[in-house]
Amino acid sequence: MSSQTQSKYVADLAVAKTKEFKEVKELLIANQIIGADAEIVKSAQTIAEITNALTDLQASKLIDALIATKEPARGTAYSKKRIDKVTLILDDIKNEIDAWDFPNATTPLDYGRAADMLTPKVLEGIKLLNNPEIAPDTRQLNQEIFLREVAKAIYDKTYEMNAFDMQIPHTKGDGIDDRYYGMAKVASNSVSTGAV
Amino acid sequence: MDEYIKNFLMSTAAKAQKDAVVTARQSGKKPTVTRTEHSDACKWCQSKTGTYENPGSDVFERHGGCEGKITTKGYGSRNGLLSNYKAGKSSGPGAAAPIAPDGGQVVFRGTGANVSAAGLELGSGLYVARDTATAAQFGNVAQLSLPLKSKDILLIASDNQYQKLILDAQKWAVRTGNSLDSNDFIPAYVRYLGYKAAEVSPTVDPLGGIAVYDPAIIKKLQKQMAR
Repeated sequence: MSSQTQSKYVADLAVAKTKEFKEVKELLIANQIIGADAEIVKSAQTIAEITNALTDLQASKLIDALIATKEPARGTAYSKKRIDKVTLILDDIKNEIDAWDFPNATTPLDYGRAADMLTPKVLEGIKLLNNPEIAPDTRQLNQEIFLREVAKAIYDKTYEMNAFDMQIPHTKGDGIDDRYYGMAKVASNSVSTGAV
Repeated sequence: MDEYIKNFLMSTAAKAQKDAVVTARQSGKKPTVTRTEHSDACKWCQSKTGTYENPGSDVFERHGGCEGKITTKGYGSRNGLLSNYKAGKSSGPGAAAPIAPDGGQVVFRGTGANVSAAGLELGSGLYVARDTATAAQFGNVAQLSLPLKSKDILLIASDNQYQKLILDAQKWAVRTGNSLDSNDFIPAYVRYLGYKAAEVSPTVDPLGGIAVYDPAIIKKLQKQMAR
């Protein structure tokens, strides 16, 4: 079985050297690292599933194949149309958050559920930013901005509603933590490493 | 990815709930936190279920896939006050204030000192009123545009809140070596808190009004008054 270091190296190389996850599968077959009919190639949804199924020798061969692959030419700027679409989604998400209200005079909002309801819209924004033709660093940076904006809107509204309920208006919370950095990296890399 | 995002969004809301509970407790409130989990949640998440008055931060942590409910309840939710919450806009002070053409809040000022009989309750500053009737107590009224957002104004909504502000400001002045004159330390403390003005609600003092502390804002108001 491939080592953890090999798995991480493969994932990093895949992000740098491939535009899409299916290219990793194609590399495995083209370099005869595994047979074309290998089950993992057909069913794998993530690069982790592939590396977990490889022996350390196969993983080494995949690393060699990825190193030998030329880095694809990629842009560093999104089209205006794509940015406009993401901005519209972000505005829509913010408007939805802004409209959160207490269900009635005595019941607090289920904040977790309300945040969860935003998942489809957030995924849509992530998908748009995950253009394989854009360099991974640029993708990650844009994902960071997008996710930070969403998180901040959720945090501020949730805090404000709780502050109202608890009669501590005019106070401010500590703010969001740094999780959006990690999420942005995972989201951006998923183009080449598959869905997490 | 779906599960990661769900967990990210729900955890962000939970963190805000945790921070609000911590602040509320520090302010002497007693909010409650109730966590419930689905039967298929992991053992750790199941172990966090229950109702808490002084919850640890772990009560607000979430595992991916365990989508339990974290309910935070404050004083208001027990007293039917939640219906006063204004969704879709800031519920803070001045939220319903009329907006001047230049985007500022419409306020009024009489030609006099605009200070109520109680004196400079909020320390040295430029005092303005929310309505013409109050400003008219101090002479001819001029309408001004206050270039501040609601979040920039500290609202004093009760006598207790006012007493607490004075006490906190006094302690702060002693600790930091600031002037012990209330006319100085109140504005200094309010500005230290990140606000540019303070407002006494009419229930505390009908003539209290808004004391603006920010020199740049005061300058802008004075310019409008000179016209």
